Amino acid sequence: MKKTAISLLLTFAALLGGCGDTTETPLVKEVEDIQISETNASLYATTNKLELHAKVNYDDGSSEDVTQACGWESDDYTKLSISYGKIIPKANGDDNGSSAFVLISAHYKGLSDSTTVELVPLKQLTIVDTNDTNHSGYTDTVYTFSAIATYEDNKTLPIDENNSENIKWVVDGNAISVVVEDGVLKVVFGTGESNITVSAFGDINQTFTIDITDADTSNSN
Amino acid sequence: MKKLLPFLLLLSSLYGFDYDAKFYVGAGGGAQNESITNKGYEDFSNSPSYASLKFGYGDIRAYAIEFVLNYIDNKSNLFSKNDGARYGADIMFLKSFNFTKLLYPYLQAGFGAGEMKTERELENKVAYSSYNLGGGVFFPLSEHIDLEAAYEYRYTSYESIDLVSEKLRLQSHINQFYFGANYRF
Repeated sequence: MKKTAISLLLTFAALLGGCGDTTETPLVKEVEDIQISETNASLYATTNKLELHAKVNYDDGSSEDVTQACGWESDDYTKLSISYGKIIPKANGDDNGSSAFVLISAHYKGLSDSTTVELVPLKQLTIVDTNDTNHSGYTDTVYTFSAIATYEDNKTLPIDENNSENIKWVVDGNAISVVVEDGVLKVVFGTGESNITVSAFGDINQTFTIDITDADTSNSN
Repeated sequence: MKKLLPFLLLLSSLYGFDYDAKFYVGAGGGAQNESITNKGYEDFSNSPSYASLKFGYGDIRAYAIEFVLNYIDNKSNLFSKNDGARYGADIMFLKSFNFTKLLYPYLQAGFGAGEMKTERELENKVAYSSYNLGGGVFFPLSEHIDLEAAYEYRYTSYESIDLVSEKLRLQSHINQFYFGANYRF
């Protein structure tokens, strides 16, 4: 009886060897690589809205954005930092005042891609007297000051909501209220002389002086 | 009380007569048919053959518990171009019925787990687990040897596959037929 059972098992195993379908193409798509979408990206030392994007390519030809899913690294955090694809300039170009080139990489487990980002330094800041005060004003008025940046490549850009990283406004004098919004300064002054300074990276700055008189006095005149 | 009654009935059926529980080992195999339940993957069908080695304890006429090792000769490429064989284990509970001495039909339920090698960029193996339900028949040939034929349904859930932008977890229905022999000590 034992021999019968063993014979049956062996016969059965032999029959099973020929069973089964074969499917060549995998059912689930395969990750091929990760790719940073932007190549030859550059930003100015005051840019605050540059975002890189990463996508994953699959073997079926499709791709998906994975900017938030992958990790990001900068090879020089003293010049450019990066978080979830958003780049923040930390220095005014390289140590000699020229453009800095920083390697940015996106990675996920064993997959990675990298690209070089150029950081263009700021050369000059110019205060724009939006209110056309001619360096004098009154106490009951909100004065708005903006700035224009000139970079190493001689391009000029306004300091605004997209371009105000590393920009600092300082009011030295008698100010009643000071608000900096999207890179633009809004001040209500007290009487007397005040100095408004816009600066970046410590050594690039411009100062604007304004003399404020009492609003009531001016009205009576 | 309503919940207690079926439990007591089960106990009474287990202890209602004199059992002759024995350890037994069994070997056999069969064929599976697997279909994926996830939306968009319904066209996939996988029909591998498999072999099993069983270690059980129980009475052929009444009940048993089995520990089953499975080798599934997977040839279809579910996750990669070189998916390997699957190795798994099940724990099954059997309730058989003593209608006639020529054969003993049974119902079985249990669960299992296993893994398969795969050659994906981000995974080199994929684990799976299953809930199993089925039934079969023991054909006693002698005091120690019996043949067995069974059908089993397995609801299988695979480990998540990392697609970076999402995690994909496949589920499948597996219908399998088993033929084998057991030796009872």
